[in-house]
Amino acid sequence: MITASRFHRSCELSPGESGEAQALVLLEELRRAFGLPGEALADFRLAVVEACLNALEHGAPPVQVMVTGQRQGSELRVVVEVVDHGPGFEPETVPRPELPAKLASPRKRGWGLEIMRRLADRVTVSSHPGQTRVKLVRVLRG
Amino acid sequence: MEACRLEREQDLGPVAILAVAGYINNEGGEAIAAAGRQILAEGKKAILLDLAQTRIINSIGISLLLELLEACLAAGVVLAFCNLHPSVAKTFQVMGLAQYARIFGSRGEALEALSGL
Repeated sequence: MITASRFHRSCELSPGESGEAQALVLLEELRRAFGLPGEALADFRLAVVEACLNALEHGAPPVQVMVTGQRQGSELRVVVEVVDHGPGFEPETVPRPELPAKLASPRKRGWGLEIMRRLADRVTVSSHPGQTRVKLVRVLRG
Repeated sequence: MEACRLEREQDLGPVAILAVAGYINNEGGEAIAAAGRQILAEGKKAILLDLAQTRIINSIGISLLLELLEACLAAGVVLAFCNLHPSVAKTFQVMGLAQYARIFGSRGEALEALSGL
């Protein structure tokens, strides 16, 4: 099988039901382009979904998604960037969710950033009024 | 992404079984929570969610599952899950869900443990 050494695709998410699914289409294209097994990016998919949901819910359009893959030797580096144009936020002020507190609270949301941090190898958030950029990295070896 | 589908299967004694397939997002989560509330009203002792056909649960779906979990805890009903895809299992691990809900490898294991309630 001939596989790619570099992949780059981007899209603009449509607001509305399952807008985040559009980003997963690009991730699936990348998986196929590099000939990766079906579950290779399974966890990372949810991190990408959460970045998109945050942008669609709390940001402002256009919400852009860039998916890049680059193979270097035996390593494949997958980078997904999600950019929105909303008011921005300070990621360090977002509390880490704790299940006991969530169960006792009427507000059960607030898991997105924690899921991104735990399911991606690296998460970088740069945010200011007018633009938030979330960068998720997954490195596959072998 | 495959839309969420939910099917209530034949109860086994005190255990109500919900088979869930597809993406658990806001709509899927709401459907599960509504079905769970119905089961709670029936007085069952356990609700088993079989997630064999579910690959992904987003944070909105998670929050709705937590609403159901809260209601189950208040009613003294066991909320249990089985057949977790590895990425769903990891999501539950991130949440620490095993502190409050029962998690089983297979439906058979779950029913063996829960049917004696």
